[in-house]
Amino acid sequence: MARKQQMLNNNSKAIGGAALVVVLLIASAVLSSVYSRETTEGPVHSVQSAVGMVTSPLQFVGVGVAYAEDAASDAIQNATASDSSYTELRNENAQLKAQIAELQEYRGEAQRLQGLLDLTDQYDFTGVTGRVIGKGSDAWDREVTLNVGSASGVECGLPVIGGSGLVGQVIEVSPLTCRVRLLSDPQSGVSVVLQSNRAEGVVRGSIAGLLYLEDVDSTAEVKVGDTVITSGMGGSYFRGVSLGTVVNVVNAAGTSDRTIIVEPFSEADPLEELTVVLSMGSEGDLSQADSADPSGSDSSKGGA
Amino acid sequence: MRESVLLVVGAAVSVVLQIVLAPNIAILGALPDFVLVYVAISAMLLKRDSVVVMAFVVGLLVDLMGTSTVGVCAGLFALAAFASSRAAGFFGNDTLGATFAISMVVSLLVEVLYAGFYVSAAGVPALDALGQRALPCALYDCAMVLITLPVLTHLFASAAPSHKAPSSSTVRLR
Repeated sequence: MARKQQMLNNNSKAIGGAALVVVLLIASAVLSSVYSRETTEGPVHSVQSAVGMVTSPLQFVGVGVAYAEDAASDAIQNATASDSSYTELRNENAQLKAQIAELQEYRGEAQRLQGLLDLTDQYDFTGVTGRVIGKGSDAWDREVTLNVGSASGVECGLPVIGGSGLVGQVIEVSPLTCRVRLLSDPQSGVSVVLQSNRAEGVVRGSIAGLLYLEDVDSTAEVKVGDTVITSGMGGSYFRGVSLGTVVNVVNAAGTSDRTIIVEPFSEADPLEELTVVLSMGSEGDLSQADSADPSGSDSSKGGA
Repeated sequence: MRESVLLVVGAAVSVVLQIVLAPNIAILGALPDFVLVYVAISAMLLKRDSVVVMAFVVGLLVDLMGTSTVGVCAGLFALAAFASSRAAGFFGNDTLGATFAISMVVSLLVEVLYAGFYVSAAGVPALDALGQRALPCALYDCAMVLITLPVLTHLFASAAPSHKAPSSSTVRLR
């Protein structure tokens, strides 16, 4: 009798657990549906932006983890030294090293900021520069978080450049932070032209992190070393911003298909300071290639 | 009560680890999912429905902290907790091997399901999503299970309510 009662209890518990999961799955499906249907100003998106802003200090902590590891290893070395004078000298040496590292950091930062200013002069745009305070915490999305937001004039969809060229696009904004989808993200796509022959195409990211130039006319000649710049078509990116160079062209045997790999200019940059382009006054690099294009004088914003 | 507190604290710690540590230990683009590992192990160890609710809530938090579709991780984590709990109940022996095998299958299941969602949403090739992300991430999760499992087993065992032995030596037998 007692065993029967226990079996009944177990059965009702199992049914209850399954029902709970079904209810939660329905709730997640409803949430997903609402999220997909609403605009970026919708309530779920707004909550997501707010949570992103609240957790940005935690992301910033992550940036310091590498530095903390170095400090910990130094501390362990000091703790294991037996001679006090030796330890004192090591401390002094460590302090001097830290000062040198700090000065080198300042010098690097100055050079990077100078690079950004040079780029500003080159393209004649107005923008707001922010510091990268976090990286994406999942394996699927390639994103960074900047410490500038809507309070500084940042809006969704604006392009973001590093010291050498285009880096990505703002996809989420909170008052104090914004999230930038990098070019290498699989969901990223930019309409571009080759500076040498004006052949149009689309640069897309991939799961592996490589940039592929696709949809190029099969008759257009594409050479390694060709510079790729934004075309401005589509409405997401300003035209004329340098993106990268063609580093590999692989032709498929027997067909006109080819795989074109682009290396971004900004990849070598440490991505510590990035600039969100708010508006653009001239066509930058494209002006040279635009000499035969009378419509190229306006400051259009476009993209894939 | 102590178990419940530990469950919530552990969830918070796993979320913090995911934000702070996971991006810094990426291997060829693959990141461990501390939250998924925690959800799977705690569901196996506690075998309570409250773990499923905790998994849903913490998954929702993960969704809100990222930029992907809200609700996907919440649903997947709730499913993972339920599957882990039921699988542990079914196999029942609570050995390290069984626990490890269950967590491995569950993490692979969740990563593959998420890859499926990502393929449909982002239009990336399914083979790339599975081969370059889902599988490496699942393997990374398994490595994290090896590290996390003994710690969580010890913590949950110490937090479990202790049953006092009867003070009387007289035992009534039916």
